Amino acid sequence: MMREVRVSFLAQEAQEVLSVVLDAADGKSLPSFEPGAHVDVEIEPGLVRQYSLCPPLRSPRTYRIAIHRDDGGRGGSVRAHAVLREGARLAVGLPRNCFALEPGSHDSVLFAGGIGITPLLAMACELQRRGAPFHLHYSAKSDAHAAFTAELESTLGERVHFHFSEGEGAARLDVAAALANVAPSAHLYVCGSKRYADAVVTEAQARGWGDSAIHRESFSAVREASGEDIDFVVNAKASGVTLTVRKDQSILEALQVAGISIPTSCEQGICGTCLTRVLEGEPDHRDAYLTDTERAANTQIAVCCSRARSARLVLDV
Amino acid sequence: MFIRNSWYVAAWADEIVHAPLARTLLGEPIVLFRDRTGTVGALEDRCCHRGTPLRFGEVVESGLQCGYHGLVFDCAGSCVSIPGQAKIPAKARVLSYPVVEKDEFVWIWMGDADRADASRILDYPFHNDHARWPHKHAVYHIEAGYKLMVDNLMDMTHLAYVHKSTIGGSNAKIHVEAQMKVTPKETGLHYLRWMLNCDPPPTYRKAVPELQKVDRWQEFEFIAPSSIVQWSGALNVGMGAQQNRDQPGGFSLRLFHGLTPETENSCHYFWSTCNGYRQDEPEATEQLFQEIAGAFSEDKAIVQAQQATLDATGEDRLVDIVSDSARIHMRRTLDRLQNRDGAATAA
Repeated sequence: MMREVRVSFLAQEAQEVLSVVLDAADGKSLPSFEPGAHVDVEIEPGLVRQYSLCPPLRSPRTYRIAIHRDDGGRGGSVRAHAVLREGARLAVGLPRNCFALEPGSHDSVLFAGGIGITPLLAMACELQRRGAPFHLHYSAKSDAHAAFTAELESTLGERVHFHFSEGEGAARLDVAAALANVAPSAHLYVCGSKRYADAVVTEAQARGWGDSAIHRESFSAVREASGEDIDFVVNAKASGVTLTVRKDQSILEALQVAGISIPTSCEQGICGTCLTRVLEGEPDHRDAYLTDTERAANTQIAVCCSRARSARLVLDV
Repeated sequence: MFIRNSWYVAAWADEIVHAPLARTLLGEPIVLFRDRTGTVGALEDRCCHRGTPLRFGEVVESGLQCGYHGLVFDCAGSCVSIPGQAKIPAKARVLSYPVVEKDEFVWIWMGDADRADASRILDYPFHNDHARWPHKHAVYHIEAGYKLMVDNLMDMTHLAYVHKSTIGGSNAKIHVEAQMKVTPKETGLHYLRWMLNCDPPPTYRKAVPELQKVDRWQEFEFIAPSSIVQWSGALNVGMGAQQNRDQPGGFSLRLFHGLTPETENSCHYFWSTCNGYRQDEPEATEQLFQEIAGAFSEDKAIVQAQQATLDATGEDRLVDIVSDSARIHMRRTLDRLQNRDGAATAA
């Protein structure tokens, strides 16, 4: 369900980062959301992208998002920077949260890479409100590229730590140092590029944090899941068949066409019936059955809904 | 097959007063009693003398006295008295099970006794906070396996169909389209559902007449094998429920669900309702309890009917749907525990 909104405020938040305040076009309130939530934004007809929600700036019933212009991306952010003006009409979906804070007031450490700061800004404000202990590490190219610096400093004070890779006094984030004195019971929240999030998560796992205490959102996953699907190749090794999975079909459908049948039940990634062993390649997991650990192992795939990150998958069928 | 190396609710603490209480748990007839010091014991319901059920006995100064020839057993199952005889043979004992009384529950461990770690029993502090969470409890006997009852609590879309007149309401769409986030955990799973900008169901409206359009949540923690801790409620739209659910003026209740197997195809359903609004009005707590009792009777009826059909037809030819996500993670956790249990017993 999309709802019409109006751009009521636009600001250049940092180099390449635009912050946008959206009000409901009918003057009513927009649905409330939890820190960490994101919304679909239809920038212009047919161009839908996901953006995390910042804490509301003025009225609690407006939305604020930040858009980083990614010249190497699929073009959505470049288009947004070009067309968004105050007063512009666009549409948003209902907030969804795949990156929620754990309830309670245990320790938390938040890691933001680049534009990954948006959901973590909202989460940091919520932890501040709860009076829960936390630290926020924010990595950006430079001071000029870092968004919300003044807001972060005035709201969070000593709890925010900036790490810049360029410019005077540049010092990249040292994940090991950031985790050195953190209680093992702490929850970790990571949002940034896949490379950034992988680096943080790998170090945290090495230090004993388990899946249930590591919460991550990486833009590439969100982007790929929402972006247009592409063709890829599947080699069904046991059957001796190599086939192309077209962008508009599932692996399951492609295998069925080739006469290879796989047991199924729900056909939408819920039940795990169609799980198939992966021999080579990296799946793009889209099911709700596998746990994070099983996903990361990349040894099995729900062929009814998941796709491939690599150009080719070799399956044991 | 039962998962034995786990804690289960055996009874409500206030069910065990003076008389012994007999209850079949995990397929075994058990007798529960409270000795004169107030300690609860759980024994095999079978006297080691002539095999008479101990439930026909009574609590005396030194323990539970068999109602046939007067042998007395303490909470550890040792015979402490045989009328007319001084020597008590070493063989004069009955099986006993570790029990822990905590938060108004009596928990029992029916696995390897040396693995019974009381620190792993879940905490339910709301039962000790009578001012903030006035509450009532009950136990239902269910003619269906405990897994089917846990299934019921893992898929809340059933509220739209089973509980139209109580906790569900007449608009199925809001349940089916609720935002839902499932988080598998080592101990089970957690899920949180949001139904935004919707009409409160009849139970909520009766409880808090000021409710208009509400943002409504259902939060569940499943602690394997069969405990479910639930917090549900609603705040009027505009009160910022998603930022802070813990604020006055709305509807809020906490439910505890403990499903303890009786046999493979029957179980005991221990549940309590904690009232999180109008706490100083006992009639509000009573009314909430009655509403939930009605709703759970609806669950009992439909799940018992489901069990009867599955008994007749088996579990083949069933299909999973989108709303099964939490249920499937729950079943995966049970399978994991069952395997671990089997490995422990074999070792």
